[in-house]
Amino acid sequence: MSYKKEYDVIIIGAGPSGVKSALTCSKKGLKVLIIDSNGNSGGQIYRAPPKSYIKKSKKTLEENLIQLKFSEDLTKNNIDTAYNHTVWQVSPGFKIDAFNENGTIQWNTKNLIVATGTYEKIIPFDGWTTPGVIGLAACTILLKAHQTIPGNKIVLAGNGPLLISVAYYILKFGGKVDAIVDTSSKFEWIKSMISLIFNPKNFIQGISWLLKIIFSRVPIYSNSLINKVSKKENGISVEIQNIKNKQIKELTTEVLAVGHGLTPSTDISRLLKIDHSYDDLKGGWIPKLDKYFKSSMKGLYIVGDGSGISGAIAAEEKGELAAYSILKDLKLIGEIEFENNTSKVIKKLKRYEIFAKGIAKLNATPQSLIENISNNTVICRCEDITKKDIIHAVENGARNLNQIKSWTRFGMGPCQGRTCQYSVAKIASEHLRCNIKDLSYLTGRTPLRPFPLDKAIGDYEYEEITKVEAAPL
Amino acid sequence: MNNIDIAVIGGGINGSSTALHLAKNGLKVCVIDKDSICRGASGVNAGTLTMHMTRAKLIPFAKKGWELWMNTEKWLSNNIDVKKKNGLCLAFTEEEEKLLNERSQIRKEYGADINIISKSEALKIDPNINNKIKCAAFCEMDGYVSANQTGDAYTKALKENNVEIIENFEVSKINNSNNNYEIIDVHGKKINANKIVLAAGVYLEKILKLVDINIKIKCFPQQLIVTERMPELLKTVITVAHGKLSLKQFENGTVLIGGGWPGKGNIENGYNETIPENLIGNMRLACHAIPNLKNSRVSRVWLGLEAETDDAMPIIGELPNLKNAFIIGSIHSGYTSGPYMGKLLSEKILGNDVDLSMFDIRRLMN
Amino acid sequence: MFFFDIITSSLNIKIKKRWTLLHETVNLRIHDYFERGKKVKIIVNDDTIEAFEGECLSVVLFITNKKNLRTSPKLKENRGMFCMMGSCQECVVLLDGKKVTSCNIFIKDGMEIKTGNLNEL
Repeated sequence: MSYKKEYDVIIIGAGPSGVKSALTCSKKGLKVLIIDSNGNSGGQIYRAPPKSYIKKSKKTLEENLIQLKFSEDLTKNNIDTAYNHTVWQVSPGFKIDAFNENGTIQWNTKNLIVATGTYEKIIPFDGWTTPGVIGLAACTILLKAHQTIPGNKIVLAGNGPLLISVAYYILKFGGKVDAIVDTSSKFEWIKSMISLIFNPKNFIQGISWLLKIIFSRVPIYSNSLINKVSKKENGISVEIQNIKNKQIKELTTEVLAVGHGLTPSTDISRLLKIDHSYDDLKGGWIPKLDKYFKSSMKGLYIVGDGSGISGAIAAEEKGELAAYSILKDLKLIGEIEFENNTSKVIKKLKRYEIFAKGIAKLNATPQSLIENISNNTVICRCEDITKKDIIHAVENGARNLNQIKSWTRFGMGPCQGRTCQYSVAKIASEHLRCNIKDLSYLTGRTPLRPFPLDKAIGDYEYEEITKVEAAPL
Repeated sequence: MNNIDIAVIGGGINGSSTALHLAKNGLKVCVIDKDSICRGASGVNAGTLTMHMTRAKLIPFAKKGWELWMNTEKWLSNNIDVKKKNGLCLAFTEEEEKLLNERSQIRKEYGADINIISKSEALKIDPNINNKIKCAAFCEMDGYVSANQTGDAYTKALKENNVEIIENFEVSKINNSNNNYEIIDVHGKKINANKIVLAAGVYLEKILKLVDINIKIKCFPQQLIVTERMPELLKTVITVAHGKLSLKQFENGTVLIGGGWPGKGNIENGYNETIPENLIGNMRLACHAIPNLKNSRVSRVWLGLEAETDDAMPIIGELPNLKNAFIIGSIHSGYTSGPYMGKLLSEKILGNDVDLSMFDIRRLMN
Repeated sequence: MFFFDIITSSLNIKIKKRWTLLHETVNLRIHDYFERGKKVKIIVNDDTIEAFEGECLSVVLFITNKKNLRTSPKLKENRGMFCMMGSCQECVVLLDGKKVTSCNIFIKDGMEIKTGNLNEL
């Protein structure tokens, strides 16, 4: 393991909020390190194309431009970057342990900003594990970062504005969208449009996307969900069900991209055992933070969508606030400068939050999705635990997620419950008719990602390891 | 709750085994636990059933415990995965070879059927081990239990034997009057019993204070590492000469790496934290023993707390200066011998002639 | 005769592409913005395939219709790429004998990939 020197501030996650934090901190001469498991800055929303992709023409996607600016700014401000590094443990104090293709490394800092973003929420349905079914965010990453359409024919399903964005880009790049399946009704869409007005740029963009979709005659199924997917010889069969009248429409397509909103990544905050509160509109469990995104643990800040879903623009503001708070604590800025800078940002953030709330209502998990999960549907994909298994544990007395995990093995696989924890909680609270927050959340554990043993052990001399006392006889 | 003959405070493997045997002999028993039963060390330990790491003096007890584990249908009903496996204890250096020879000899004298075998013999038994070993110790009496199933298994067995299980009951006071014990929890709930058994694991020091007995019980947070499911990587249960490694592969393909590498923990607030350097050390040792382990990835790490007295020997028997009060705990390799130790104590409580003098708590008191 | 030639010659081109340029997928890959990297050879389940250096392994396998990457432990279901964020662990394959999440792996010359029931290969 190699030990690198201490940094004034370490930021985990080089998405919009992490980068903004880094830039703000570096302006007062702090030594800053930003870490990301991807090969570049940008996070998921502005995910950069792989390094081997060489720019061909002047044409570019807006997201790629934003990402390039991030990288430029990080370099200009002498911020150290550790890309392709996966953080596997964070210890209080703080010690950050990470691995990359060469082995392990440990950094120290007294100020840690966690900007690890979100995971996509996908509520299970029959056949959701069939290869060819991918997340909606996954589809976006394929389009924007990997420059590929996932298949010749695609069905998009879920809820929220991401559906429209993805459909637009698939059509723009010459793909065919066989259907858009949206759980919201057309009326719910119009309601949320009102809050979109607070962000005119997004609003106009949204309208233009919608127009392209309508002119391309893409069938839109509102108030509908995916009932079942099964493998066919020439693709996958998708059953679309109307939530109200239960009518089913079946079609054969190549790829189904489905997403039901985002949920904050709380891996690190749960590992560090800080308090969380439950807010479904903000994505589920969120860490308890003050208005500058400082947690109850000294020196620990959680920014971006990981503090609660508010969107990419708001994420930058959150990162900035946390950075100012650190600068004030380190006495690098005075009270007045702090107040001036932060009050401006807080005002901006409030506006974005209103916009975010409107989007959030569209992203809220409709009850119909939970009710549609059949008993034999796999919920925990890593361990093949079905809804039946979860209900069985609950009926035998399991009363919180950790207990359900202990009795069923859900969440014990390599994804550690990231993919299924939300759905298990929904299923269990539904069955128990209890408040979902009474089930608590899974205890955070090391490693934060599956830790390859070949990287973990690195090069060593056997004699080094055995510098331990022999166990007593 | 009326007419409880005996209340067992602490529902881990020691307390639950004691309770089970007492109930099978007709006593009205209740098991009290501040959480759910077997959620402490009993539910999170490595589950290794080996003679190679057992303290030499405890080998006769571990052997009896091993026999019980191999026949759970006779006393624990069913529903717990127990596997008999060969156990290999490896030596990689000359120093370790010497240590292994010495220790195996001593363990053999205490009754463990351990024999030193050559490198080629060891590789025949398990071709997956590192061919750089100097020699190995071999014992057929080895294997493992899936420790996370302990709570479920004991809950069923205790209920079948009419034992009352009282969970989420954190004992804060023990009153003793008129041949009766009154056990009170933090919320004021009361349980009355004629006899008590203190089996509170790492909380024994705290519970003993409630009956005015002061002894030091050390608490060691230990790290456990489990990989994702893998194809067959080892055929045996692996340990090493200096005792700081245990390796086993479950039926589901996951490999559990243990060996008592310390983490950080605090029993006051339940806080625990892993020490990355110790995780890496443990992983290095594991991959050194089974080189192909390098192809796998660690899924998760957790910590368990192990209790130990000043002389690292168990405390089992009557409590001095108290009538009808007993204790069981701090048993090294306690998971293996727990079922048997619980049986022994239950025999003692029933009035049978059992020699528990070597575990007498008085040796630790001033 | 003329039509027959066109048909056979176009068939020939298709067959040739299947063996050597399985990875071409011209109609799925967007070519407007970026060049592809240099051509290299990788081995997938003992088949040698030409691929483009630096592209994401799970994406390459997905769009060339090799969507089944691993097998689930109890139900033995086929599983494949799902989240593209390195989180869900569904895209795990064997790379040179080691388990890796293929969505974090980028094509390099000579890579040996195995997919399928990874614990029984």
